[in-house]
Amino acid sequence: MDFSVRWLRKYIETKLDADGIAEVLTDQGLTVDEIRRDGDVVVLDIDVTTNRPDAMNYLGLARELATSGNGTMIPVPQPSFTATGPVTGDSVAVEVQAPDLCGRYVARYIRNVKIGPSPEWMQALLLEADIRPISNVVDITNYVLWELGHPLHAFDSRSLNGNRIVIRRAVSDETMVTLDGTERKLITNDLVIADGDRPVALAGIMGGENSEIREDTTDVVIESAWFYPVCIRKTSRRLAIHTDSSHRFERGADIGIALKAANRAADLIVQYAGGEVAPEPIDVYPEPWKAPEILMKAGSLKRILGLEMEIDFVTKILEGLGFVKLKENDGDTLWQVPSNRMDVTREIDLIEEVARMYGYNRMPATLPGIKSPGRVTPPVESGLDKIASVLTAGGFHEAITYSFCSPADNLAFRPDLQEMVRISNPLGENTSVMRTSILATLTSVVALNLKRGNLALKLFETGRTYLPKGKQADERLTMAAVAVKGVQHRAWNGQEIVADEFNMKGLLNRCEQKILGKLSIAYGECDSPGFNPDMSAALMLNNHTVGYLGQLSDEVLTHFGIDHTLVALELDLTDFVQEFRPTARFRPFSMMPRTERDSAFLLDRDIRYSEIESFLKNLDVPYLKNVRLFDRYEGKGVPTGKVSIAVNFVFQSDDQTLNNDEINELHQKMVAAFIDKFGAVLR
Amino acid sequence: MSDLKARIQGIRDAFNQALDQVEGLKALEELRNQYLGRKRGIVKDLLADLRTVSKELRPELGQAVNRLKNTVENALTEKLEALKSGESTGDLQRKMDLTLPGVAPELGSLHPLKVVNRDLIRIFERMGYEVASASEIETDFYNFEALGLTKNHPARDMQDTFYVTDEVVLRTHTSNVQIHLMQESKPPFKAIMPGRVYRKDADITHSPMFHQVEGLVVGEQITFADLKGTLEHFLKQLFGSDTKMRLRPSYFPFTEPSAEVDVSCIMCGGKGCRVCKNSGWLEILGAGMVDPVVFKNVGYDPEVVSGFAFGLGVERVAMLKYGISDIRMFFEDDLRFLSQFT
Repeated sequence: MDFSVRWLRKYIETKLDADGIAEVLTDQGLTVDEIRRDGDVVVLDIDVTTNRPDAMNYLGLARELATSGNGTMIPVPQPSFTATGPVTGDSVAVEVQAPDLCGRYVARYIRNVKIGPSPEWMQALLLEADIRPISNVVDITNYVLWELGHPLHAFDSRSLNGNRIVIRRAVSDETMVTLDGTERKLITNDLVIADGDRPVALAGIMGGENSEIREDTTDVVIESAWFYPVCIRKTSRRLAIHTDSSHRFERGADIGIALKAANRAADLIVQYAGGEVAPEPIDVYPEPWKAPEILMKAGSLKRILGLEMEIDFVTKILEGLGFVKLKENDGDTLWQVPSNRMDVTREIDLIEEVARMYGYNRMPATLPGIKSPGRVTPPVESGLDKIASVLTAGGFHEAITYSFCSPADNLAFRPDLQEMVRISNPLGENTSVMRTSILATLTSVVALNLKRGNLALKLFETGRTYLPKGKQADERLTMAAVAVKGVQHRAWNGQEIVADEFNMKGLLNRCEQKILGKLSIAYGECDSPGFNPDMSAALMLNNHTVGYLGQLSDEVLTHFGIDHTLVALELDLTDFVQEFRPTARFRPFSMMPRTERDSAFLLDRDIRYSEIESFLKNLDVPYLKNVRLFDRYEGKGVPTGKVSIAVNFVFQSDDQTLNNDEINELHQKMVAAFIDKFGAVLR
Repeated sequence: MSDLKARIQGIRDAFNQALDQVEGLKALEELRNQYLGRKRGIVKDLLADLRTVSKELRPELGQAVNRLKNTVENALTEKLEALKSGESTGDLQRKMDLTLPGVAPELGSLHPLKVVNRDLIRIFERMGYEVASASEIETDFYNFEALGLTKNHPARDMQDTFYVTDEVVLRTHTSNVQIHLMQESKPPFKAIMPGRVYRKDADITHSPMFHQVEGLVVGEQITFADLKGTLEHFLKQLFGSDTKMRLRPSYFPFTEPSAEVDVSCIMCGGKGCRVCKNSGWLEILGAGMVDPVVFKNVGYDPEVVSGFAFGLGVERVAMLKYGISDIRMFFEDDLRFLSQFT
């Protein structure tokens, strides 16, 4: 909101220059976003928060400066006109048919006005604040709005059919043309100012074209009303009309000042446009505002702010802002709220006023004196950190993708999905549903990268997926990773970095060790249409499918427009979060020498390695510390349907050196059992 | 004794010379036998001769012989591979050109928002805060009503909301966690709530999804001064100990008194620059004393407890810290963006 510094100085005598004024106002909560200078014109762009309509005018700003001791207010001149001629009621009748939307309506009638330009000094001030001068009467209503903060409107009395002003709800499908020349279609929740026949203004927002002040206007009605904020806000938003007037009514104008504002305007009109003010203004004000009384208890300031303040200081501030001290008793004070501060209804509001004027930056800084020990955070965050450390060490870059996507992106991975969490007012189709898997959004990001030529891609994300559950959603903590399969980097010495299914599985196993403790993942048949069934596996924990690992299916790749092979992983961690192991446990290791034996077998290709591994590990061979697959080969030299595997066995005792014969015997026993179990041939 | 040392050096030189002249697998095999043969190899002989050396000197010389053995073995293996692949080893084994590029595993990177998020969490964890979370798809009550944002509250316009139904929204801030936390626990406590939030807004500085970290401290003697002290400490931890803080009174429906909190510009230190629009200050967080209405809504007595809350945008901090001007970069996840934050 722009304010001219020169105009402001009409109401405050201060030693501060524009920068000083800006600094003080900012410190008091009226942030000056910008100081604009053009020659000797200085304009402050002030961000007045929605709760402070009282400060959206020059007098309000002057009050702020004076209260904090930065100047002396210059009062607005008292009206000096003498009312003459027939009383107002003889020329216009006011009927408030919607008292629930209009709390007060003042009409001041002025006869024999001469429309012309407003005085140069007024035009200059208006222009400084970027308000276009129109004519003396209109400029005066604008001037008073900016001076006192109360929106006014001037009607040409000729246009009021039946000499009536009716404040009523619009009739369904009623239309009117507002001052900006636009035809507005109204609904019954809109409040209009009508004459005997038709709307002549959109209450509190904008006048109608049919009743505007013209060059030949002679008799004018000055409206100074008070409308309920919610009503004005709804209409203003629905019709997308935002005016200086609606801005104030929406936030709560000063109901107490309505007559005073009308009189101020009338006084200026008499001075600068001539005319005679009719006696006995109309003032429909059925329920005059009752000023709330608020008790400020002795200890409250200290309790909330952490700072003692003298009652005299507090009194000076609140009285400066227009509050009236009704009682004082043993440190407690009782305050009456002025009508321009409808935002102040509770003790805490008074405390805020005092704190604001004292200056936040002058207040002490301490730390909370909570004596009880803090509570411990669940291990989720640290588990996720560990996953991230494994995957980044494995060359994966962490991505953060949107939680929403298109329905088709979800369906690509889960064609069977019946329900998704749908956003009723999305930005677009592409962001209209919550993702049901992370791969649904991560794969989009992969597609974008590939399009941009970033081919050496390894990305991962940890975050939530969202499945409908009751009215809300089941939000599942999930990890996902995806990589472009193949050699991603090759160094000058031939060293290669490869991304493939087993690289991804290896990293998954590392994560597993770090976060899942004793739980370990089993691999089942993959039933996800998102993955290529021959090149993927379902990830099982406690016999439940919790994710998938392997190559993405052609259907998915086609959907995302990707012509590379992608390997991916998605794992739902939700049910295991509580198992996240916060720290590793030390396991003692043997100081005795270790002995290794290698054996190669030829066996049926259909036998899964998991069977072999679990067989060997469960043999219960003494001193066997580890079994490791170190080669697997099929092809030339190996009969069709067979595969050659080479396994390394490590033997080690915890307390003695084993001799060769002992180990050979154990090894041969194992080999024999293996051959027997799998029908294998020793190579 | 020095005889043996000299012999070792002599053997090394002779081996290197011989290795240079090897031109075929057979010759290489012969060289291997000559030096490492089990029965009569030169190295084997050396080991035998060690026995003649005095006990005190034996370990040192033993190690020297082992080193020679390793060198010879490695050189033979390298040469073998070179011969197999038909390359010349040149002087690789004796004079390595370490100006050749290093070969490191390709490391991944953490997302810059996660880095900042983790930094923020750590600062508060060190101050004894717990980390709390709740749903992102939230009821109107937890996202708005309980915070004093009643249905017709003008401040609802400040936040353009994504709706699932009339009563269910994508949370517009992590303040919903504050309500859950207060309902589920008893003061005193200190907690922060990081997480994803959503607003219907998309341009260079606004993303429909972004991240917040909010904090909440509730107890019997929690004051505005405590809020100031906490934020000052936090901001110095985050931006450095020279950082200055400025509070401006402001308005939020769920706190009172409320403040916008600025830090001295991290680019120019407060002198004024393009980033701070010459003001010397950067707006960094919103804060205030928990409004009594909020306490009443969760069943606390505002005459007994008081508390403060604050919130900041993770993107805002990351943009300042890393000099990123377009918020959309964070969610496009272009590899050339992500890999800068290793």
